[in-house]
Amino acid sequence: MESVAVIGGGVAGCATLRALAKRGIKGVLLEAQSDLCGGATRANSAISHAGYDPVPGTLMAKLNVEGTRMMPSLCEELGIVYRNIGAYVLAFDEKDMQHIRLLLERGRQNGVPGLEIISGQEVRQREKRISDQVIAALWAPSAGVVSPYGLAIAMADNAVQNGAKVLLNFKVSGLCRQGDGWLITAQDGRTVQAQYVVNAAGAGVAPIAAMVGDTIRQTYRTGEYLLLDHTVGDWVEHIIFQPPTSMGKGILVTPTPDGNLLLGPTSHDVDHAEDRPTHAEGMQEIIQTAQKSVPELPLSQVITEFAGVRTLVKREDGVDDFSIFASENAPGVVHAAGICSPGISAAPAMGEYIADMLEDMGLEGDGGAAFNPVRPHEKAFCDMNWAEREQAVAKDDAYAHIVCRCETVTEAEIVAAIHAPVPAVTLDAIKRRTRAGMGRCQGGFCTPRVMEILSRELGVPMEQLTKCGGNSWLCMAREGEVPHGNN
Amino acid sequence: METIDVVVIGGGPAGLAAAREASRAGARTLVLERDTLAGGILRQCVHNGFGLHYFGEELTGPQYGRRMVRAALEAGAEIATGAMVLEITKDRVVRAVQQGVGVREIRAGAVVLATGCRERTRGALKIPGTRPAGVYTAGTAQRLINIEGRMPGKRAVILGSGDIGLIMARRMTWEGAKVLGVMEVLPYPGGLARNVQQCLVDYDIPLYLRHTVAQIHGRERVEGVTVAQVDERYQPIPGTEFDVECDTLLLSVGLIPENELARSLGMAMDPVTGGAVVDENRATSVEGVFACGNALIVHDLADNASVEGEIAGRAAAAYASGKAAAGAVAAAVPGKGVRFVVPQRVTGSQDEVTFQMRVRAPMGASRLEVLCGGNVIAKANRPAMAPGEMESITVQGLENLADNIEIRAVER
Repeated sequence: MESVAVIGGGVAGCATLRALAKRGIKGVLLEAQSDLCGGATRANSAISHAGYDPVPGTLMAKLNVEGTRMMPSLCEELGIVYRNIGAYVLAFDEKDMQHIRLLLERGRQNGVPGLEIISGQEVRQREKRISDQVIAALWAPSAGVVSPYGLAIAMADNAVQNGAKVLLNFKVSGLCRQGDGWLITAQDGRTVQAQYVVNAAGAGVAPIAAMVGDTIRQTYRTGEYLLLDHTVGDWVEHIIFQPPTSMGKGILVTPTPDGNLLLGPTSHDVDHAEDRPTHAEGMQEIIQTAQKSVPELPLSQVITEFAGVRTLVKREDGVDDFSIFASENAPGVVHAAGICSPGISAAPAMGEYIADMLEDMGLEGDGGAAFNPVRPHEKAFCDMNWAEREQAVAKDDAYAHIVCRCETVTEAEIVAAIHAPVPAVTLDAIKRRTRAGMGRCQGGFCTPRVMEILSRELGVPMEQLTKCGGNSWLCMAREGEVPHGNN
Repeated sequence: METIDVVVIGGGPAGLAAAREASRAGARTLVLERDTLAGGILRQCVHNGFGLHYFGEELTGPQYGRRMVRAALEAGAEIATGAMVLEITKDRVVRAVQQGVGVREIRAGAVVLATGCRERTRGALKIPGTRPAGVYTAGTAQRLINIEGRMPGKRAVILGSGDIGLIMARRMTWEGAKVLGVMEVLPYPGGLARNVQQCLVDYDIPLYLRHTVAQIHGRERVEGVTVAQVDERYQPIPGTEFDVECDTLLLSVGLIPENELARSLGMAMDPVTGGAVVDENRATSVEGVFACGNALIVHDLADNASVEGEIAGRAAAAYASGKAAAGAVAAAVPGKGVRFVVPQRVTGSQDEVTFQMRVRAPMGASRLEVLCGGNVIAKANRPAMAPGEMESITVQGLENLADNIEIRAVER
């Protein structure tokens, strides 16, 4: 029997798995899809928020501020990029002024460091492309950008290095009490027994809660984004927000941790989290609204559009909050529901919070004396200087094979991702770990080459490979002909 | 650090022609090609129709490529494959990684950029919908079939009637797939007239002019697309939508010269062509750096890329041997009815200069006119012109230009 099973490999589940490993508790994470981070963690604004948005006193406020405080050292340990670039919330009129004053007050109550309101002139001095219609801004120096899936995958990898397990394609279909623990069944018949269960299944939290008789009312909200090439990644230097609306934090303009420029999100209620289409109207809305903050945008550099879905849960008094609680019906089961924005920011603290809850419920670890918080990792080839590149190539000739020309990703890095602690076995999984296919040609060049490497390393024919598991096949065999090699 | 007279970046039809000419002119020449074999995109173009102009006979892409490789090698050029250039400095130090060799640092007397082009993507077009597997650019699908020996799908819709899209419509059909239609936003096809006939008409594949893909459907794999008619601004017209069930969407919606190395050098670029601003020797604004082929201007035919490679190769060899580059004395600009003109600068160092251009819209009986100081200095009649076919006109006596050149297209 496992001590803890974590259902869901998004940022909340991965943070929990690592927080448990830190205490010497080797959990098992069950992910329904072919890779971690297929839900809300995949598509969001990639921001570690300062923490002035959440209503004071909420769990969201507490975990956001604490998580953002933990973020720099955590990213250092995990070897992932964290850029503490700070954020502005712009005000265009007196109504906006009232709003940023409210945010300043909330932020102070929430314990956010360094907040101040500065004049429009000062904002434009610090951020030269800001609209001259801006009259003032709230400055939040503790905000930063971090890759959401990069963070989650690195936490899971580090947990696995410390003895945790990750099972992919484990679609939970049953959760039953068995002895003094729980029997978890997957659609494909696999089973896992665990003493404690953390339900961090994102949009899937409610159906899993229902398996133990708990009712969670969740709603869904979709947000669309535009991503621009890293040729314009420094178009702005900080995260640029507009005053939040009742639907979210408004449309932002921000550099990403990987050096792209990101615009979005829209915010629209939807009735399920399954499909995440983009719409022509959504793209228009993003462009028009973003131009209010930054009138001149390099829209010829747009390389892709995407949409994410957030799952929301309201408190009884109608306030949006994270809903993390121990089931009253099911002993040893904790639900982590409504992990919407600022879920990425809060994740480091959320993992600890959930691990604390389990310890309070009686879970015991060995104290984690053997835990190694540092995730061994190689520097990305594109970030190496020429001396480092020479060394890398001398050690492994696969570093001399550039597979993705737009992002300068080598075969060595793709092979490493395939054999990582949590293995990347799909095209999207490779992309999330190495950035191969994320550049301006959107995989036009590297897709067949990555497929060749996946096929070789996994020992499966190319027609069995997928973009993201399930029915997302990439190619089929040519009928009546033995596939041939290079001509 | 190695020292080489002429470094050619890219071993396709333009780069190989440049290397051959540079070698023939006596320069020690090295081609750096990122793929495992030289030939560029020709390697995956297994159809015929190549070489009619350049070799005077009809070849397949791989045949054309092999001839170019052999000619470059016979002329004395060295070809390094599996070699990706990652950096060029203003003083022409080229840094590359090469499989089996390692990091290469080369001081080049002259550099020829022959890096080709890439395909415009779904993201650049902002096609709405889900993001399933099965959306490929036509060139990627071509590589999957012709190099990897795999089919990208069974039921395909093709967006864009550029040449690669047309060729792929036929290729997919030959391989047993059903091509349900080719959608083109313009009122006329984007590719060569001969390809429309040989790839679509001959196989009863419908071409929908003034239509686009308005939405992509499917959660994991493409399940269908919504097609719609477009208005004058190429926006879908509400009420004209219809759904097509398919598992594959191929995009042939334009080629973009690959110029990241050029931009890193701060080179002057032409916003219309997407390539460098060059003179008739294909010298760019960066001293000792030349450009040719699809990296400079997207050609209709590999043959034309090779012709242009020759010019750049000869000029690069001359520069590397110490012959100073001539300064530009005049600009060549597009006039009425013309989208762009290449070269964009004239030095007067050649007896005659061939200008290449595309017209803005299809024209019937018409004429190209070259003006200098308000006088027509050259003209040529055409039975018809279309944006899908590159036009060219050769002008003599440009040694002592006093004024800029303007090229226009007028109805007859």
